[in-house]
Amino acid sequence: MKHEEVNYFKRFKRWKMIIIFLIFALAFAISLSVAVGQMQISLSNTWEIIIKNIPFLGDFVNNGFSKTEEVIIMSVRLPRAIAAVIVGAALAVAGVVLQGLFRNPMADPYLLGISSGAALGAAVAIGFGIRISLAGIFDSIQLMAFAGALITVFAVYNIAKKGPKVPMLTVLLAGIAVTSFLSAMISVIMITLGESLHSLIFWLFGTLNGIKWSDVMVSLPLVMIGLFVIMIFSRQLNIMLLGEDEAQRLGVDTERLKKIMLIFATLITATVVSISGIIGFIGLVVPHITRNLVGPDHRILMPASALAGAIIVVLCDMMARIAIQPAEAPVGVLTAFFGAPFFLYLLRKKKGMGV
Amino acid sequence: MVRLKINGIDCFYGSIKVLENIAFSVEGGEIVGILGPNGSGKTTLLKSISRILKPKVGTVLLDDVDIYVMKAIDLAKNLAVVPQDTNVTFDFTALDLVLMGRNPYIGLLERETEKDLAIAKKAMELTNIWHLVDRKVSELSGGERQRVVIARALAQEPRVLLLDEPTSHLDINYQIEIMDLLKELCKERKLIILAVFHDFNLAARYCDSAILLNEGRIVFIGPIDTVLTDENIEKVFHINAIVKRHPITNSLYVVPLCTSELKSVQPRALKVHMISGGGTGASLMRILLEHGYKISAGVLNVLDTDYEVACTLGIPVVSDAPFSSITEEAHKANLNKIVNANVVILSDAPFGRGNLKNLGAAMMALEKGITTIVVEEKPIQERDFTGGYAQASYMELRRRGAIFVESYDQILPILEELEDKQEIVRKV
Amino acid sequence: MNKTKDLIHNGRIIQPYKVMNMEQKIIVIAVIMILIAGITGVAIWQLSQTPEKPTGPISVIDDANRNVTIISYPPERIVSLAPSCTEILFALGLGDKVVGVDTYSDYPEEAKNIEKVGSYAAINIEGVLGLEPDLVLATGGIQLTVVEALEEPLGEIGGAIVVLYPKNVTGVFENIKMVGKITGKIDEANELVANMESRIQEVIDKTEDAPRPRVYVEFYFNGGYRSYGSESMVNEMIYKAGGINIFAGFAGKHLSTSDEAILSANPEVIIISKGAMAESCGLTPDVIKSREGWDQLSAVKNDRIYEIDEAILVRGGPRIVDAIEELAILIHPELFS
Repeated sequence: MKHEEVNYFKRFKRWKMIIIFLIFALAFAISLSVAVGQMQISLSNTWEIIIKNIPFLGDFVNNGFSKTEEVIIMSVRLPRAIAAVIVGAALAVAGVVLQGLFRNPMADPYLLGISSGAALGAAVAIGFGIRISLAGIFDSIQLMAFAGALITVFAVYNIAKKGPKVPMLTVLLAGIAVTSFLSAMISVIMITLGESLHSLIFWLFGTLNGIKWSDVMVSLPLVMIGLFVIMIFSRQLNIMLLGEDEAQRLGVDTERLKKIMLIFATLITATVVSISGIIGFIGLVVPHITRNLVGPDHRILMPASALAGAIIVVLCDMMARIAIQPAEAPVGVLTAFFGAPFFLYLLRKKKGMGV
Repeated sequence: MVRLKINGIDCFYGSIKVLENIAFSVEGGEIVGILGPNGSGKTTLLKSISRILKPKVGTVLLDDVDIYVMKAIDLAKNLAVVPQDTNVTFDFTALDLVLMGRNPYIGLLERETEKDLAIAKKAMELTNIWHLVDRKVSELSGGERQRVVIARALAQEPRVLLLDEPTSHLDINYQIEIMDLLKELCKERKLIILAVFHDFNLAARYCDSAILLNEGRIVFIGPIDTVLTDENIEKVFHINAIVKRHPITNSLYVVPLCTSELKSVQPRALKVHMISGGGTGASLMRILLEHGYKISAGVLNVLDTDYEVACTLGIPVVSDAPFSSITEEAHKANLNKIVNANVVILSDAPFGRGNLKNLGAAMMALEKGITTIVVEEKPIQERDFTGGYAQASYMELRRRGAIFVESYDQILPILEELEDKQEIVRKV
Repeated sequence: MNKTKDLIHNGRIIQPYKVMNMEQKIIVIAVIMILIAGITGVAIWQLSQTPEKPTGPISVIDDANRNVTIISYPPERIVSLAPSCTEILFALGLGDKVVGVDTYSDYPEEAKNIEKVGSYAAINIEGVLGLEPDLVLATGGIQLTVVEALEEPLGEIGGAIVVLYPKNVTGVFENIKMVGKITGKIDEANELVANMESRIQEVIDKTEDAPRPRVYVEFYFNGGYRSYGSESMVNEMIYKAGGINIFAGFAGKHLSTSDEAILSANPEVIIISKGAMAESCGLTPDVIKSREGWDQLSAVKNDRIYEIDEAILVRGGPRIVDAIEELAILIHPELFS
């Protein structure tokens, strides 16, 4: 009978291997993305540039590359790739959280009105030409989008709250209603926009064009903290899948868990939406793809989804840059374009969404 | 010893009162059944004890500590719930699910240990599902899933176990197995087991005591045989039922009678006495009763099926001991009954020396002028174990004017005709 | 206190719900108000910042209030991110130095053959950097995110980016002069501006005394009709051409209007601004004539519906003069024969 016992604990080792594999895959994707672009930079130059910019190691490399190449790698491609990692990880994990909390495989991170709240914030900023910047780092679109997202979720949460309890079904319905209302307001603004309409639409589709290091510096800690906190509660989220009543009876503080999960999922989603616009599909589909491959236990599902989401967005962003040169394709279009067929393929192969 | 005390609680759904002034106390080592019709508040009571629905009035005390003051996790170490069903929408295995029962003992940043696995395994072995360890719960049958949930509850190592219809999806063999297991664990570990039952017989067999709920209130509470009585069942469920003690298992069992027909029928004036035996009178007794006729029966020996049916139906019976001839006493009592009846029916029972006197009783009836119907679906020749005496009696009965019918169906019309005639000439 | 009374009911103890009491609610509201006040305060402070005087060899304050130092002077490789900037560069004779333009830069002809780097906010940053420009000209509004993204990396490779976002005709003149300053084409710039000023003055002189017809300019329709408001340069150009925009009183750059507004304004001249947007919705004079109720308009009755190339009308570059002249001819045909 020892056989089954050993089997069970093997899973922890298996999980470690999966994570390590995914980390390597991500590193590879990042390298690929950084090496590829409109300007042809040789692979060796790429590596030299990166190494040179790592403190201490930098001195061991000779300068066979031009300043322009260095600037492109370090100031354009690298921050974009890292931003892509942040965005992909945040959206994927937020998707996992919302699918777990709502026990609904159709849930995605924008369910609570984050997307329409952020879009409204951005539309107002673009439409009324608001130009404020905070400490010279954030720009108005980012700030307004972030604020819009948070205010919306806060409103939805409070509408749904009943005394000390927050019934998830009510949250869902409130989110849908608020989203519709905000979308209507956005349409009104769009009607009044002239040339800036183009820009709002581009933003709505999601793009990593124009990402600066400052964007990365700000979003990275926020998202990392959020991911960290969320992943701590992975095992409890497993139990939440049984339903709130049953989870409570098994000793889970469901109200506290819901609050924490919602707050941090909202935080990381609002953060990435404010720097990249609304990139769809990742939050909805990556959790399913990962669940299909590694199982439903959130202790592996969360980190695996984060890494898988990161890899996918990095690769899609790479394609956004080179697909229709010299123009940029919005990354959100690409995530849907490549993600959807792959997901359908998985569905057919495995006959089900692990649901 | 663990003690659960419910102190006069009132529970509300919104503004609707669902439970009123529920108060009782249970100690470890007892299986308590919660019985009652749908909507009486059984599930609500479980919810209030498992911290899902807080009572607006009153407290629930586990070992003198208010469970609503405790931390959820502390309660989970002491109290486990087996709900009616569980829905898992994601691909967890049976083992995963049972291990979730160990959650109260695993810290936020910790993971399952070998000890947890061992306890889960033990629980699964007890419920006979260890062979399903790697199977996805969504692929299991209803019964297997239910046993997984029971195993999960056991893995919590609770001292109080709440069950909401724990065996409703199980095959009969598993029903018995699980209930036997629960009973054993209850006694061994001195657990408190509170279970909602819809099946009286199961409750009767396994519960030490029971709480009978109706419309949110406790109607009766006490040892199981004081709760499960004909009157209580009639009062709460509005059906006629008989509660008997089973001869083999010695546990109570409940036999519901078809109430609807009995109730809606007008009682008729005719009194019928049945002379039968060997199971030949059983269905007729029931049919006549359903049509509103008052019946008596005799002489039947106590091992005869007809006797048991008569008792079950509440028909006054003249009985006698088995394996001997009808005594003079019994015969006289029988005749008494006959004299008070308007009609006598003789079914096509087998006749031997032991029940010859019954034939004599039929003849007496005719002498007194009481209408006698003789049913001969099976010819007397095939039922005569008296060496021809029975056949002779039959011929005599015919001569004296007994109505012979070839099937039981013909009886009812005859009775109705008689009734119409009797309208004019009433016999008290 | 009320609390005790509520706790006992029928002699049994009730467990009350925990709701935020007054104190807690007040704290929450206070925190929110402080946050709002803080953010507003910072915003106001930012807006009130006046830039310092330009320093260094060649520095300018551009239309986004940025203090830009031209590192490589005079610039040999120039990238333009908007058609207006492209036209200014070519008008100043810098055409051969332009190595990259946006996809909508189509004038003059030579611009069409220059390498493209995207458009609006979808400029390919890497593409721009890859061209190793000394100077990048951009427009404001939505393109500012691109400007911010380009600033630093461009600076590292020795380039500078300047924003041209004129609000009126005078602004265009200043833009031309600024470009002249930073590219070493000061004389050419002055000459061009003087030429433009005199041509415009000629038009003004000719039309000044004539009565001003009511003019309605439309560039797109989709449900509502899109036109120009008082803050648009088109508004000013119509005035200089001797007409009056029927929406001169409408604050804002663009507006979406209805049949009612047009019918009550009764324009005498209708001009279609013909560009990509008008084409996308099939806006032609016939379409205008066929609109319900529009046959009552003076412009329709007198068949005074014209078209003008949108490019010369809205690009804040040298061709606004052409636009004003053409507008004048359309508005006052009797004065120009």
